[in-house]
Amino acid sequence: MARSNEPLWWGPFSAGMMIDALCVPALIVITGFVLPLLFPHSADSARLLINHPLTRLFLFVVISLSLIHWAHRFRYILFDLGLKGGRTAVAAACYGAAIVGTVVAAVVALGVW
Amino acid sequence: MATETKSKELIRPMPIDWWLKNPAYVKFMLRDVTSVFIAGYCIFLIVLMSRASGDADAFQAFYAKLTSPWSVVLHLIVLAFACYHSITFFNLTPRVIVVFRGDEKVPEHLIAAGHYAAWLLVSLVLIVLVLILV
Repeated sequence: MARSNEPLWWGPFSAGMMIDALCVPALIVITGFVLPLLFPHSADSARLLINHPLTRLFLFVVISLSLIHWAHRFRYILFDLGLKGGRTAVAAACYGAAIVGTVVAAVVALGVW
Repeated sequence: MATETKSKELIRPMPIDWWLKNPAYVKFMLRDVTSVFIAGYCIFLIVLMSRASGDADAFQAFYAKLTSPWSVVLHLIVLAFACYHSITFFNLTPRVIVVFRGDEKVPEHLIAAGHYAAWLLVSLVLIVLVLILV
């Protein structure tokens, strides 16, 4: 049987599934409604909160795991919709995009960019 | 239409809309697609952090845009997909996680209920933290 790289992606994939389920709805409520609608004049304190190292660490973890979760699912959405062939290329493109996104998220979270 | 192949391999015809034929398949596809919306939201989070790293005046202008109807509607759409992901995932947990207390199997609905409780707790903690800190 051909060796599979599935197990490698399953860890972050399932971690992403769990952290998305637990944290993302609340994050959306915060950035979409709590901050702009309840605190429309608190841009400065919102900025300080977003710039706090713990906030950035938390957001980085959520973003990187969500992107890997996306990559794994999106890869199979394409096959489910009937894409034939190019399996390796599709997998490389999906996981590659997630890795690039994770690196960008890290650079941005560290405040370099 | 049969595809001509040299081998006798059977290629089952698979129309691109196969998943529209059965409500269960639609739910399955919808569940997979939630990850696309969450990934889009993550790009927004990256932009948000990047803007917050910049100077305060520019951030103020960006922050003001969050009150626009566009932002609110987009957040509502992503929220619907994110909640769909949470709900379908938590409903699934009893199938994946089997817990024994002594010799007794913990009932399925308790495992799902535990996850819903955790969801509520995490959401409240995050929102209350923001209410206190902003």
